[in-house]
Amino acid sequence: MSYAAVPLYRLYCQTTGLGGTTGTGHSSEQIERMEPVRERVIRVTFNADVHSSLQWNFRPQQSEIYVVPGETALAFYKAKNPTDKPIIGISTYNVIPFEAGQYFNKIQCFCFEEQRLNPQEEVDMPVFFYIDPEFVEDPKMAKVDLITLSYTFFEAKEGQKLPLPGYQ
Amino acid sequence: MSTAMNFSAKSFKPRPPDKGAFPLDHFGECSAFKERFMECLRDSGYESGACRQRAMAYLQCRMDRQLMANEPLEKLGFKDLVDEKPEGKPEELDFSAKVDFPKISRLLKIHKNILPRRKQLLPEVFFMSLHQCEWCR
Repeated sequence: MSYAAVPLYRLYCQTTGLGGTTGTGHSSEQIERMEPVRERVIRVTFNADVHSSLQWNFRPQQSEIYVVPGETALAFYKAKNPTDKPIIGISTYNVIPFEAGQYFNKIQCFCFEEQRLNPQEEVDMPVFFYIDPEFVEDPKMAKVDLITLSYTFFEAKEGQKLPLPGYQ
Repeated sequence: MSTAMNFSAKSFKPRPPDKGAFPLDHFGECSAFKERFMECLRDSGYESGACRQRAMAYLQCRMDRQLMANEPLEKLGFKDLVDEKPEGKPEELDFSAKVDFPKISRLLKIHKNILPRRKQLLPEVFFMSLHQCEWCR
Protein backbone atom coordinates (compact mmCIF):
# COMPACT_ATOMS: atom_id res chain seq x y z
CA MET A 1 0.00 0.00 0.00
CA SER A 2 1.18 3.48 -0.66
CA TYR A 3 1.40 6.26 1.83
CA ALA A 4 -2.21 7.07 1.02
CA ALA A 5 -2.99 4.62 3.79
CA VAL A 6 -1.62 7.08 6.29
CA PRO A 7 -4.61 9.46 6.25
CA LEU A 8 -6.81 6.43 6.78
CA TYR A 9 -4.75 5.50 9.79
CA ARG A 10 -5.11 9.02 11.07
CA LEU A 11 -8.89 8.87 10.81
CA TYR A 12 -8.85 5.48 12.44
CA CYS A 13 -6.67 6.75 15.28
CA GLN A 14 -8.83 9.72 15.97
CA THR A 15 -12.15 7.95 15.87
CA THR A 16 -11.29 4.82 17.76
CA GLY A 17 -8.34 6.08 19.79
CA LEU A 18 -6.82 2.66 19.37
CA GLY A 19 -4.12 3.56 16.88
CA GLY A 20 -4.19 0.13 15.36
CA THR A 21 -1.68 -1.16 17.86
CA THR A 22 -0.97 -4.83 18.03
CA GLY A 23 -0.27 -6.81 21.14
CA THR A 24 -1.30 -5.33 24.48
CA GLY A 25 -3.78 -2.48 24.35
CA HIS A 26 -2.25 0.83 25.32
CA SER A 27 -5.27 2.41 26.87
CA SER A 28 -5.44 5.48 29.06
CA GLU A 29 -6.34 3.23 31.97
CA GLN A 30 -3.11 1.34 31.56
CA ILE A 31 -1.14 4.60 31.52
CA GLU A 32 -2.94 5.79 34.63
CA ARG A 33 -2.27 2.55 36.50
CA MET A 34 1.30 1.82 35.47
CA GLU A 35 4.08 2.23 37.99
CA PRO A 36 7.56 3.43 37.11
CA VAL A 37 10.32 0.84 37.39
CA ARG A 38 13.01 3.05 38.89
CA GLU A 39 15.76 0.41 38.86
CA ARG A 40 15.90 0.28 35.08
CA VAL A 41 17.13 3.58 33.73
CA ILE A 42 17.09 3.64 29.96
CA ARG A 43 18.97 6.12 27.84
CA VAL A 44 16.88 7.16 24.86
CA THR A 45 18.77 8.90 22.09
CA PHE A 46 17.19 10.80 19.23
CA ASN A 47 17.96 10.81 15.57
CA ALA A 48 16.46 12.90 12.79
CA ASP A 49 16.65 12.38 9.06
CA VAL A 50 15.07 13.91 6.01
CA HIS A 51 14.65 12.30 2.67
CA SER A 52 16.85 13.94 0.08
CA SER A 53 13.88 15.52 -1.72
CA LEU A 54 12.65 17.29 1.41
CA GLN A 55 14.19 20.66 1.96
CA TRP A 56 13.51 20.94 5.65
CA ASN A 57 15.93 21.38 8.49
CA PHE A 58 14.89 18.76 10.97
CA ARG A 59 16.68 17.94 14.19
CA PRO A 60 16.08 16.71 17.74
CA GLN A 61 16.18 19.36 20.47
CA GLN A 62 17.89 16.98 22.89
CA SER A 63 20.40 14.35 21.96
CA GLU A 64 19.35 12.02 24.76
CA ILE A 65 17.01 11.65 27.69
CA TYR A 66 17.05 9.24 30.62
CA VAL A 67 13.73 7.55 31.31
CA VAL A 68 12.41 4.61 33.28
CA PRO A 69 9.78 2.16 32.06
CA GLY A 70 6.30 3.00 33.23
CA GLU A 71 6.77 6.75 33.32
CA THR A 72 5.63 9.06 30.54
CA ALA A 73 8.26 11.27 28.97
CA LEU A 74 8.30 14.26 26.65
CA ALA A 75 10.89 15.12 24.03
CA PHE A 76 11.10 17.62 21.22
CA TYR A 77 12.20 17.85 17.64
CA LYS A 78 12.38 21.04 15.64
CA ALA A 79 11.64 21.51 11.98
CA LYS A 80 12.19 24.50 9.77
CA ASN A 81 11.23 25.21 6.19
CA PRO A 82 14.02 27.48 4.93
CA THR A 83 12.56 27.81 1.43
CA ASP A 84 10.14 30.38 0.08
CA LYS A 85 7.32 27.98 -0.63
CA PRO A 86 5.13 25.89 1.67
CA ILE A 87 6.17 22.27 1.97
CA ILE A 88 4.19 19.37 3.35
CA GLY A 89 6.10 16.63 5.06
CA ILE A 90 5.15 13.33 6.53
CA SER A 91 7.25 11.21 8.79
CA THR A 92 7.77 7.72 10.01
CA TYR A 93 9.96 6.46 12.80
CA ASN A 94 12.25 3.63 13.71
CA VAL A 95 13.31 2.17 17.05
CA ILE A 96 16.64 0.46 17.61
CA PRO A 97 17.01 -2.24 18.82
CA PHE A 98 13.98 -3.29 16.87
CA GLU A 99 12.92 -5.82 19.52
CA ALA A 100 12.53 -2.90 21.93
CA GLY A 101 10.10 -1.27 19.51
CA GLN A 102 7.16 -3.26 20.80
CA TYR A 103 7.66 -1.70 24.24
CA PHE A 104 8.12 1.82 22.92
CA ASN A 105 4.70 3.41 23.04
CA LYS A 106 4.06 6.79 21.59
CA ILE A 107 1.06 8.41 23.17
CA GLN A 108 1.20 11.30 20.78
CA CYS A 109 3.73 12.63 18.33
CA PHE A 110 3.89 14.10 14.86
CA CYS A 111 4.29 11.08 12.66
CA PHE A 112 2.10 9.48 10.01
CA GLU A 113 0.25 12.70 9.47
CA GLU A 114 0.94 15.40 6.94
CA GLN A 115 2.59 18.43 8.46
CA ARG A 116 2.63 21.65 6.51
CA LEU A 117 5.30 24.26 7.09
CA ASN A 118 4.95 27.67 5.52
CA PRO A 119 7.94 29.48 4.06
CA GLN A 120 10.55 30.25 6.73
CA GLU A 121 8.37 28.66 9.39
CA GLU A 122 9.95 26.83 12.30
CA VAL A 123 7.98 24.66 14.70
CA ASP A 124 8.52 22.48 17.73
CA MET A 125 7.47 18.88 17.28
CA PRO A 126 6.83 17.01 20.51
CA VAL A 127 6.94 13.30 21.13
CA PHE A 128 5.10 12.06 24.19
CA PHE A 129 5.92 8.45 24.96
CA TYR A 130 6.63 5.80 27.55
CA ILE A 131 8.38 2.48 27.72
CA ASP A 132 6.00 -0.28 28.70
CA PRO A 133 6.78 -1.68 32.18
CA GLU A 134 6.61 -5.16 30.66
CA PHE A 135 9.94 -4.31 29.10
CA VAL A 136 11.68 -5.28 32.35
CA GLU A 137 10.09 -8.72 32.31
CA ASP A 138 11.41 -9.64 28.90
CA PRO A 139 14.68 -11.60 29.24
CA LYS A 140 15.72 -10.47 25.77
CA MET A 141 15.65 -6.89 27.02
CA ALA A 142 17.75 -7.55 30.11
CA LYS A 143 20.89 -6.04 28.63
CA VAL A 144 19.18 -3.23 26.77
CA ASP A 145 19.85 0.16 28.33
CA LEU A 146 19.98 2.24 25.17
CA ILE A 147 17.09 2.80 22.81
CA THR A 148 17.38 5.04 19.78
CA LEU A 149 14.35 6.75 18.34
CA SER A 150 14.80 7.85 14.78
CA TYR A 151 12.36 9.95 12.77
CA THR A 152 12.55 10.45 9.04
CA PHE A 153 10.60 13.07 7.14
CA PHE A 154 9.56 12.73 3.54
CA GLU A 155 7.94 15.26 1.29
CA ALA A 156 4.26 14.50 0.84
CA LYS A 157 3.33 14.67 -2.80
CA GLU A 158 0.25 13.55 -4.72
CA GLY A 159 0.51 10.02 -5.95
CA GLN A 160 3.95 9.46 -4.57
CA LYS A 161 4.61 6.09 -2.99
CA LEU A 162 6.60 6.46 0.17
CA PRO A 163 8.62 3.58 1.62
CA LEU A 164 6.68 3.45 4.87
CA PRO A 165 7.21 -0.02 6.29
CA GLY A 166 4.19 -1.69 7.72
CA TYR A 167 1.91 -0.10 5.21
CA GLN A 168 3.12 -2.11 2.23
CA MET B 1 16.33 3.04 7.48
CA SER B 2 13.89 0.39 8.34
CA THR B 3 13.95 -0.92 4.80
CA ALA B 4 17.31 -2.52 5.53
CA MET B 5 16.93 -6.27 5.76
CA ASN B 6 18.80 -8.16 8.40
CA PHE B 7 19.45 -11.85 8.36
CA SER B 8 16.62 -12.77 10.64
CA ALA B 9 14.30 -11.28 8.00
CA LYS B 10 12.32 -9.51 10.67
CA SER B 11 11.73 -5.85 10.14
CA PHE B 12 10.57 -3.14 12.46
CA LYS B 13 6.90 -2.32 12.12
CA PRO B 14 6.17 1.23 13.16
CA ARG B 15 2.89 1.81 14.91
CA PRO B 16 0.89 5.02 14.76
CA PRO B 17 0.74 6.95 18.04
CA ASP B 18 -2.06 6.04 20.45
CA LYS B 19 -3.72 9.41 20.31
CA GLY B 20 -2.73 10.45 16.83
CA ALA B 21 -0.59 13.39 15.90
CA PHE B 22 -0.10 16.67 17.73
CA PRO B 23 -1.36 19.63 15.70
CA LEU B 24 1.53 21.92 14.90
CA ASP B 25 1.97 24.89 17.20
CA HIS B 26 2.26 27.30 14.26
CA PHE B 27 2.11 30.41 16.43
CA GLY B 28 4.44 29.17 19.14
CA GLU B 29 1.76 29.54 21.77
CA CYS B 30 3.38 26.98 24.01
CA SER B 31 6.99 27.76 23.16
CA ALA B 32 7.60 29.35 26.55
CA PHE B 33 6.47 26.17 28.28
CA LYS B 34 8.68 24.15 25.99
CA GLU B 35 11.65 26.37 26.78
CA ARG B 36 11.10 25.95 30.50
CA PHE B 37 10.93 22.21 30.04
CA MET B 38 14.10 22.10 27.93
CA GLU B 39 15.89 24.29 30.47
CA CYS B 40 14.94 21.81 33.18
CA LEU B 41 16.21 18.93 31.06
CA ARG B 42 19.55 20.64 30.51
CA ASP B 43 19.89 21.49 34.19
CA SER B 44 19.03 17.99 35.35
CA GLY B 45 21.38 16.18 33.00
CA TYR B 46 18.53 15.16 30.72
CA GLU B 47 16.69 13.22 33.37
CA SER B 48 13.09 12.96 32.27
CA GLY B 49 11.80 12.18 35.76
CA ALA B 50 13.09 15.50 37.11
CA CYS B 51 11.09 17.55 34.64
CA ARG B 52 7.69 15.94 34.71
CA GLN B 53 6.08 18.97 36.33
CA ARG B 54 7.13 21.13 33.40
CA ALA B 55 6.21 18.45 30.89
CA MET B 56 2.77 18.41 32.43
CA ALA B 57 2.60 22.21 32.20
CA TYR B 58 3.49 22.05 28.51
CA LEU B 59 0.79 19.53 27.75
CA GLN B 60 -1.71 21.53 29.78
CA CYS B 61 -0.78 24.56 27.69
CA ARG B 62 -1.54 22.61 24.55
CA MET B 63 -4.88 21.45 25.90
CA ASP B 64 -5.82 25.00 26.93
CA ARG B 65 -5.17 26.21 23.39
CA GLN B 66 -6.86 23.40 21.48
CA LEU B 67 -3.49 22.03 20.41
CA MET B 68 -4.21 18.72 22.07
CA ALA B 69 -7.35 16.80 22.90
CA ASN B 70 -8.42 17.49 26.45
CA GLU B 71 -7.58 14.62 28.74
CA PRO B 72 -7.33 14.32 32.52
CA LEU B 73 -3.66 14.57 33.46
CA GLU B 74 -3.92 11.32 35.39
CA LYS B 75 -4.53 9.50 32.14
CA LEU B 76 -1.31 10.96 30.75
CA GLY B 77 0.76 9.43 33.53
CA PHE B 78 0.81 12.44 35.86
CA LYS B 79 -1.43 11.01 38.56
CA ASP B 80 1.19 11.42 41.30
CA LEU B 81 1.78 15.08 40.45
CA VAL B 82 -1.93 15.84 40.34
CA ASP B 83 -2.58 14.11 43.67
CA GLU B 84 -0.01 16.22 45.51
CA LYS B 85 -1.63 19.05 47.44
CA PRO B 86 -0.64 22.52 46.22
CA GLU B 87 0.08 23.77 49.79
CA GLY B 88 2.63 22.09 51.92
CA LYS B 89 4.74 21.08 48.96
CA PRO B 90 8.07 22.92 48.93
CA GLU B 91 7.97 25.23 45.95
CA GLU B 92 10.75 26.73 44.03
CA LEU B 93 10.69 30.51 44.07
CA ASP B 94 8.43 31.65 41.31
CA PHE B 95 10.14 34.63 39.74
CA SER B 96 7.27 35.23 37.41
CA ALA B 97 5.15 36.39 40.36
CA LYS B 98 4.23 40.04 40.82
CA VAL B 99 7.17 40.88 43.06
CA ASP B 100 10.54 40.50 41.41
CA PHE B 101 12.57 39.15 44.30
CA PRO B 102 15.97 38.98 42.63
CA LYS B 103 15.69 42.54 41.40
CA ILE B 104 14.64 43.83 44.80
CA SER B 105 17.33 41.76 46.41
CA ARG B 106 19.95 43.28 44.20
CA LEU B 107 18.61 46.77 44.71
CA LEU B 108 18.51 46.48 48.47
CA LYS B 109 21.60 44.29 48.72
CA ILE B 110 19.75 41.73 50.78
CA HIS B 111 20.57 38.08 50.35
CA LYS B 112 17.64 36.41 48.64
CA ASN B 113 17.41 33.61 51.19
CA ILE B 114 16.19 36.07 53.77
CA LEU B 115 13.21 37.06 51.63
CA PRO B 116 9.98 35.29 52.57
CA ARG B 117 9.01 32.30 50.46
CA ARG B 118 5.49 33.26 49.66
CA LYS B 119 3.75 33.36 46.34
CA GLN B 120 2.26 36.77 46.82
CA LEU B 121 3.61 39.62 48.80
CA LEU B 122 2.10 43.06 48.81
CA PRO B 123 4.93 45.41 47.89
CA GLU B 124 3.89 48.02 50.46
CA VAL B 125 3.89 45.45 53.26
CA PHE B 126 7.31 44.33 52.17
CA PHE B 127 8.76 47.82 52.26
CA MET B 128 7.07 48.59 55.54
CA SER B 129 8.59 45.56 57.17
CA LEU B 130 11.91 46.52 55.65
CA HIS B 131 11.62 49.92 57.27
CA GLN B 132 11.51 48.22 60.63
CA CYS B 133 14.61 46.23 59.94
CA GLU B 134 17.43 48.11 61.60
CA TRP B 135 20.33 46.62 59.77
CA CYS B 136 18.66 47.02 56.37
CA ARG B 137 19.20 50.71 56.19
